[in-house]
Amino acid sequence: MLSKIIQAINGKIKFCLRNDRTFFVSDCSINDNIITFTDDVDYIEYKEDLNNIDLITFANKTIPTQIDLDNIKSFFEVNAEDHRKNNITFDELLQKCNEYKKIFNKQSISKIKEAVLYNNTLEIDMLAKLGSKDVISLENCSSGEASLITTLYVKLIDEKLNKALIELNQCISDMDDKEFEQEAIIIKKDLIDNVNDFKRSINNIELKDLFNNWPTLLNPSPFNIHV
Amino acid sequence: MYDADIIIVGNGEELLRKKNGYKIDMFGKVVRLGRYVTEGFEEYSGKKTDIISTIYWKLDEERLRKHKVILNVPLSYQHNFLESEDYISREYSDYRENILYLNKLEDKENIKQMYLDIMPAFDGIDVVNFSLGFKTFYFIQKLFPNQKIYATGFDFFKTGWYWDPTHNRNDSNMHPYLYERLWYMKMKAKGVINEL
Repeated sequence: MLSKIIQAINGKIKFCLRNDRTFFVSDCSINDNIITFTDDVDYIEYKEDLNNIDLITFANKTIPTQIDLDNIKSFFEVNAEDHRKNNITFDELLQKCNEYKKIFNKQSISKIKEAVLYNNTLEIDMLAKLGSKDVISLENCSSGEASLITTLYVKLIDEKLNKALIELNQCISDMDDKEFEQEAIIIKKDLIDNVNDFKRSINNIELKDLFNNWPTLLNPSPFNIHV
Repeated sequence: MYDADIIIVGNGEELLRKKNGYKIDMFGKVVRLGRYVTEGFEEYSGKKTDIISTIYWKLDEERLRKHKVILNVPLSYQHNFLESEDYISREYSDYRENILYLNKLEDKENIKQMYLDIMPAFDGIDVVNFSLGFKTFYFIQKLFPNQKIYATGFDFFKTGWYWDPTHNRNDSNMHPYLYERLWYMKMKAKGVINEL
């Protein structure tokens, strides 16, 4: 049945397939219940067994029933608006994948597709802000990956600290006021102390909670979690 | 001595550096923030409260019954809560006369402008969420433009709350404390805010 459905909608209704991986399907053909297609995100040709795969579409009335299959022309005519919406959503998801593709490395494409398809991109957005080239699952990562994330986090904190100190110095210079300067020097010290304390304690923070933590005085955090 | 003046009492541990409770109680209007605590800290915080400036979810009925309130509904929620007579009518109808002010959408721009009036812009100024303490300076200036404003207990989260030092330690959020503190210093230097 799935084979018939895909053959019927192919070229008119855009769709994804999902087994243990996620595929944005284009140019498909089916032979002996094996579907051959190119993935629109990574441009790799795949051959997958239709017995172990789910078809994913993005609007109502996009998966024809047996009755629809018997009168497929009418199915497309009657549900044209739904199919248009489906294809727009598919294209939007594809575009999102392509944007993430520019940020992360090739090894991450599979995770990107999965995250985008299930609208679960918060973590990869955080990783992008962090400057990571790998999509890493914070709840399920190796010690090496955890170490990489922590290193990038500290690097980002240092960058933000340096920027804040430059702004503070500029402010002191603009004010040209001795009393203000003395207080601003205290602010600088407080900020540096806060950042150093934070960095010393960063290894005590569980990785999955890392983005909820940021040196208080260096807020606003780039990780906009608690507005 | 201070009976014609207003004091905004911040919740920072800074407050515990001076036993100014008796002075605070001499002010014509004492403004406190959020879930402030005075019990047990009277020597430092004073007891008197005239106005509470608070985020809506930190307000309890008992306090609303006894005090005037400046109610802050986060701007990101205002599409749901409107500006927000409906919200007030629904939640606080019995105490409507005690709600001195409810923040409005236009306040967001005005609060940013209050900062920019004396400070240069900083990166991200359009997306930050100024802290309740900072916003309260705006509300008080707006509501009482002719009164002299004092402040105490403000350290812009160099510390936690004076009754709970662990509050907000290294939480990731959108409050620009550093810039607020610079603004505060400058306001002090200009004599617009007087620190007790």
